[in-house]
Amino acid sequence: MYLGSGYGVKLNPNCILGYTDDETVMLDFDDTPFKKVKYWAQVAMKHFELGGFLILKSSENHYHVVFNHRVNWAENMSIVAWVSLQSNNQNMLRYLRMQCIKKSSTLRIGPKGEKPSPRIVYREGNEDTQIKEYLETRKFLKKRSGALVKSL
Amino acid sequence: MVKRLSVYGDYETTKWVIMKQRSWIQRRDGVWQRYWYKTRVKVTVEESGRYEFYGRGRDLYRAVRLAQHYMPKGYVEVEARDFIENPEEYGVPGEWIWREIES
Repeated sequence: MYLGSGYGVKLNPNCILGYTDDETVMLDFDDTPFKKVKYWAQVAMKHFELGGFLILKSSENHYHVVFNHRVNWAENMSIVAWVSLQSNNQNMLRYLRMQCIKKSSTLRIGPKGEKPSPRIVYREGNEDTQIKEYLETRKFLKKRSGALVKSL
Repeated sequence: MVKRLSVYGDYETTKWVIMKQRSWIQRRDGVWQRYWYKTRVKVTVEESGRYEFYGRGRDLYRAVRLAQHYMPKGYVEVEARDFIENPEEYGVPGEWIWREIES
């Protein structure tokens, strides 16, 4: 039984918890080393003037990138498509297609099976807009349920 | 501030399925005739689904907790407050399961 009445309730790790937004540029790098992820995050930030970014490690060689500036949905998908084509990343193209179907971007914030919650490994630039919102949501869930996002 | 959270994955639930069952009836002339009739059977099925919750922080957290027991009926985009007030409308009782997908 996972549901309880108090705080710090253990949630079922079999269901995945994600953060969804259509105005935040979010990238999912699968099977990519950290150096490449950092390089492409810096290139995208400078090219599209995204203000800053955050790199989170979801598992070995799997990283998420969240950018700071608010963009509209069309611009968002254009940036993700540009990065996936420039970096020749087939996994990101698949991620792009899935987000287009849903019409919003989602990144995992909770644990997934045996994988822990994504943790921050690198920050660059400003964190006052979209990154702030993203971090607030993570913090809120951590505060409400310690077991849910244990390794933030 | 309106936030959005997704809860997704694979789950196991019970479902009523209409199946055909074979039976026999003896006619007046003594011949046994086969016939089929429809019957409802409860089966356990594995499905995948997704909740897209939006709303205020406190409602969102309560909706996520409630989503542990109510499995989404496919792709469900709902305000957290509505889901809390009427979870049966958007979900069915079940259990989240872990299914490894090779990709």
